[in-house]
Order: sequence, then C-alpha cells, then structure tokens
Amino acid sequence: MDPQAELEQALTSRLGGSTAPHSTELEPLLQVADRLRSGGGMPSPEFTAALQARVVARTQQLAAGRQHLTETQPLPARLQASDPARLPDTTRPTPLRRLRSLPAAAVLAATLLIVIGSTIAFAAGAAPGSSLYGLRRLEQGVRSQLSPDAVSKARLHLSYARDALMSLNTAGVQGNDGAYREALNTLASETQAAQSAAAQVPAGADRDALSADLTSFQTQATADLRAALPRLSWPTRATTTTVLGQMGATIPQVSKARVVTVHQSSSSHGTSLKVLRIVVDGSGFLPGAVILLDGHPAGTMISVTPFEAIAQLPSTDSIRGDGHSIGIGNPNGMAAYSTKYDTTDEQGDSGSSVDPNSDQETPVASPSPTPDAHSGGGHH
Amino acid sequence: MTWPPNQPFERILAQARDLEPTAMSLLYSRFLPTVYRFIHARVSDPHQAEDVTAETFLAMVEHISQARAQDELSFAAWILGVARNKVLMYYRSSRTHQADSYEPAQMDHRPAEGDEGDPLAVLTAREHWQEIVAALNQLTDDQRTVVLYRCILGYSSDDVAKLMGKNNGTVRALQFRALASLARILEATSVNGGFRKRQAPSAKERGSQHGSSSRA
Repeated sequence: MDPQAELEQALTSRLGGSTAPHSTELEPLLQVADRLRSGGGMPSPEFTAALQARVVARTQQLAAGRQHLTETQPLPARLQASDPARLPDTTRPTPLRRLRSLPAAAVLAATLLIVIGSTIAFAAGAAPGSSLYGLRRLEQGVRSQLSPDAVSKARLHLSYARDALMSLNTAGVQGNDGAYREALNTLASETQAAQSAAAQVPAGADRDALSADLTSFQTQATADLRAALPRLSWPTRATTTTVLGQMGATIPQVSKARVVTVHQSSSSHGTSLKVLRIVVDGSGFLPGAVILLDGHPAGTMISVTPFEAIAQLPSTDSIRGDGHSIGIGNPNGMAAYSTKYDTTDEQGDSGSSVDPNSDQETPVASPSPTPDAHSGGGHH
Repeated sequence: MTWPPNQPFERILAQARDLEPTAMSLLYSRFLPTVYRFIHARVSDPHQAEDVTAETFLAMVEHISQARAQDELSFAAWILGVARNKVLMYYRSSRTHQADSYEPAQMDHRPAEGDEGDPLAVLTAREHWQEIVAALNQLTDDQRTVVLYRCILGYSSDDVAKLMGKNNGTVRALQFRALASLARILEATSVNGGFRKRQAPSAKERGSQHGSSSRA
C-alpha cells in the first residue's frame, strides 16, 4: 500500500480511538500524531467566562451602534487592528510595549471583570421594571441556550416562568403597571418556551413529569392572573386575558366592532335626535359586560348576548376617525379589544323615543343602513 | 459546549451576523476549543495563547458581517484564518522587538498561579508542548495547517481538504511529510537536549503564509 494512504488509514483509526495494522516505519509518525492530539489543552475557565462576557458586551455595543470600544479594552493596540486580512504596520504591537503595558492591562482587565461581574450579579436579582431586567433576561436566554438537553432546558424555562409569576403578583399588588406588564411578557414567553422544550423530550418518565409540572404551574398561573385582574387597568386586563387564553382559559374575543350614528326624529319635540351606538361582535361575552372605549367603560349598555354587545352614547361623543380602541369588559375582569372598527350612519324609525342623555336603558328601533352608510378605518 | 437542539448552524450564523448576542455567544462556545488549540499549537505560552485567542474572537465579532461562510466548515476556515493572522502578527511583533533575546523569565517555564497538580509535572508538560510548537513552526505553512487541522483539531481528511481548498491526495502527501518532518525534528531535539529558543516561523514559511508557497 502507498505509505501516504497507509498513514491516512492508520491515523484515521488512531484518531477514532482504535488501531489499524501498519508498517513499523509509520510508528514514529503516529507517535508524533499522538503527542499532537494529547497536547494543546483548553483555556482556563476564568478566561473562558471573561472572554465570553467581552464577546457579548462587544456584540451589544456594536448592535447599539456604538464604536471604538477597543480603546477601553485590555489589549487596545491589537484589538483596534482586528482586520483578519490586513493589519497596518503602525498599529502592530511590540513585545516591549506589550510587556510595559502588562500591569496596566492587568488592572484594566481586572476592572473590566469586576464591572462585568458586578453588573451580571446585580442583574441576576433585577426585577421586572428595573433597568437591569433586560440584562437579566439576556443572561437567562444564554443560560437556556446552553442547556445540555431538552429536559434541562424545559425546567430552566419553567423556573424563569415561576420567577416571573412571583414578580407579577408583587407588581400587581403594588399597582406597578409597567413592572406587571414586563413580568407578564416574561411569563408568557417562558411558559411557551417551556412547553416547546417539553415537546422535544422523548416520551417517557421525564416527559410525563415535565407535563405534570407544567400543568400544575399553568393552573397556579391562571388562578393568580384571574385574581390580579380587578386591580388592573382595562388595557392591562386585555393583555392579561390574552395570556390567560394561551394558558387554556376561556376568554372573551372580539371579532368586529362598529360605531353607528343613528338619526331619529322625536315626535314630542318635533326635532331630530342623533345618538351613537357601539356594537361589538365576538364570543364569550358575559351578562353585565361593558363596552370599552379607549380603555374605559362607555355609554349605557343596551343589550348583551354571548356574541354581541351594544352600548349607546350621547351624540356629543365623537368616535369618528382613527386612534380609538373599542372592546368588551366582562364582569370577571377579562377584556378583549377589536383590531379595527367601522363607522356607519343609519336612519332610526320616527316613532322611537331615545333620550341620549339618560342613563336609563330605552328600547331602540332596529337600525337600518342608509345608502350613505360608510365604513371608517379606525385602528388602535 | 452545547448547541441548542433544532438550531441549524446557518440560522445561528445569520443571527450572529445580525449581532444577536446569544447567537454570538453560541458561536464563541462552539469554536473556543478549536481556536484555542489552534493558537496554542503555534504560541506555546498559555497566557499569550489566551491573549491571541481573545483578539481572534473580538475580531470575529467585529468582522463577522463580512464573513462569506455559509456553513460550519467554511466558518471554521474563516475563523481559523483570523486566528492564523493573529498568530502571524504575534510573531512579527516578537521578531521585531525581541529578536533572539530570549529571556527565560518571560517564557512559560513557570507554572501559572492556580495550576493544579504537581508543579514539576506542569513544567515538564509545558516544556514538551513548547518543543512541539517549536517543531511545528519549522514546517511549511501548508504542512503545519494539515497537521493542525487533522491531528490537533480532529477534522477528517475530507474536511481538511475542503478547509484548505486542496484535493485529498495533496492533503495526504502534506500530512505524511509533515509528520515525518516533525518526527525527525523532535528526535533531534531530544538528542540535543531540547530547544533553547522560541522558534518563530522560518523566512521561507513566512513567505508561504503570504500565499507564495504551497510546497507539499
């Protein structure tokens, strides 16, 4: 056999942990290969962690559009000239400069490590709503990505979701809407991530245990979120309702909303009256539900069925144009909003009687669209 | 080093190009052993090897958007190219300012603080590794690259051929001659009592590193 091919065959076996027959002339070469394979080693764990922090920090800085970080790093001259292809002579470091700069570099490196370490340590305890919470989430993301298997990953996500639920409960009690929303976002994403990771676990005891833990957690989270609802603003209730829906709760949903301007003539006064009616279609509406306009209950409820709710407002209220939000609020605190609404003009029967300024519910004639009815494009 | 399940390398690479910190961190974790071993095979002092490794990864962050790599192997070729240039810069600066004024105190003949195990064993291992590095630095660039990729980084010969853009026969020939030369150099070293100076790449191989030589 060709010696080169024979060496290749023997080397492949050797690198794979086995041995193949070979001529004795090749033995010195294979011994050299063994020495190479066994040498080299790995950098220290301290260096590995510190460099990872620097890589992440530099990435974030570049992403944020900031430049010239290298001026503040321990190896400035060499790092400034980091073009892999070419390096200007003027920026090349020299051994003397390098040796002279070693103490300063060591101080800078130590300072950087302390700053990074302290920041990460502080961020590890950062609560939703704090400025360091983003860093904490980033650190959590890195940790979950480095999980060795799907089971560990799912459990890590579940633990983050549990932390978020605790923070959410605290923020809800304190009335801290911003912190509540941040914790709610974390809760939703981490629960979803835990479910995705659990789905990748092969069927068996691990998967069953994970499923049980997830179900138990979701039951707890659903109960906590329901309990928090009355303390929240209606927009935050709507966001919470969406998360409740993701966890399997039955929630109200709005499919369509319209604002109808009804023109009616008053037989007693001989004048024409104009009222606004908000009609919301969807599902899951409960008796006692209110229609929400721009985050607040609006007008007088005329009727509520599981699929439709109607409220009436004085004509002095204006809902035409963009920028309004329309939704439904159930008495249990759940809420939902429409993504858009239409506006139409309708002509009421002349014999109907409506007092737009009255809080009393008054039977209203069924509206009939007029030829000039139009559709508006309000979005929120 | 754990790659997240169901995450193709190409997706992580694309995210890293968009400066997504988690993706960049994953690339770092993935390639740290490869890059460090590659560099440590050229720079025997572990602390200096760590410095060069740091420069390599920070250069990766700076220039990843310019990398044309589309898969793991081509990305490995790119980042090892970055590492190779950093090593070259290290030797250039050493040659310019240190010449042959080798000072034992500046080298790695002392165990680092915190090293575990018998200090004598650490010292001996480092001296042996320094001999290997010095021997590697006497090879041509192509020979050295084949040996590094094949024996130290553990790539298959097919992958080495792709990484270097050469055919399998050429890689086998380079590998044979490289190992034969190393065996000869190391044998002479043991007879002469070891290297007394740090061996930088020869003028000939430095020329080959600029693309003028592909001697097999």
